[in-house]
Amino acid sequence: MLILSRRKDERIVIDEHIEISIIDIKGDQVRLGISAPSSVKIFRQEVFLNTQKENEAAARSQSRALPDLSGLKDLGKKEKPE
Amino acid sequence: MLIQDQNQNIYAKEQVFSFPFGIPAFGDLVKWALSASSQIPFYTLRSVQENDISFVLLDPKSLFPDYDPALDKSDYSILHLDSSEDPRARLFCITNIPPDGSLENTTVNLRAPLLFNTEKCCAAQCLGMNDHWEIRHSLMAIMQEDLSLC
Repeated sequence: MLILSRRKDERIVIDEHIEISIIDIKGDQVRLGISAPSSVKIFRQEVFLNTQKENEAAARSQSRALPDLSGLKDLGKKEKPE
Repeated sequence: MLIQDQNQNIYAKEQVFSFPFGIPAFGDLVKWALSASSQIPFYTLRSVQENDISFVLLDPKSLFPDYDPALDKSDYSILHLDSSEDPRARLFCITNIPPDGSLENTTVNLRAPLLFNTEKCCAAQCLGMNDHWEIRHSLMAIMQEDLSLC
């Protein structure tokens, strides 16, 4: 991992097309500005990790059965037979 | 293979979509086949590369038309879609069905839906930035139209 120190208003350039700016520093919180091409996805790490965890739990073997919906009286717009 | 649904519509059994970023936790799997499952309103998203890995998806709008995950503009542009109004845009949500298959414990990830471009056959999971929607929203609650939980 490359570790750099930056002050407020200083920037970091990644791969020519991605730029990170230090917008503000208040106590233990740093406000970052990130400009990147629309093909680059950017997210908070914990959001990505939470999604990863949930996807791992949700992924399944194809052979498992689907929930039985016959107990419910309707499905939104569709009529459900009794 | 073509199949016919209850409305007499005939369509291809599977449509392969390219997920250029993979799916979080499955970042290397970039080709997924979408098909209607045997049970409305579920769909199956099967990995073409790892045959035994699949997700069960739900069309959220079939259950409540007002679902709006408030995605970022970049979520659309990355898939060459103009906006949420783009007719080629389609949303699906991943369900989490417990091993016992019980409906009571099945949840839907409303926070990070999958966005599809049905014309270009590409898709990605959008990592919803707002906390308004649940990662594990009870499916039973949605089906009983308990919108107060949203």
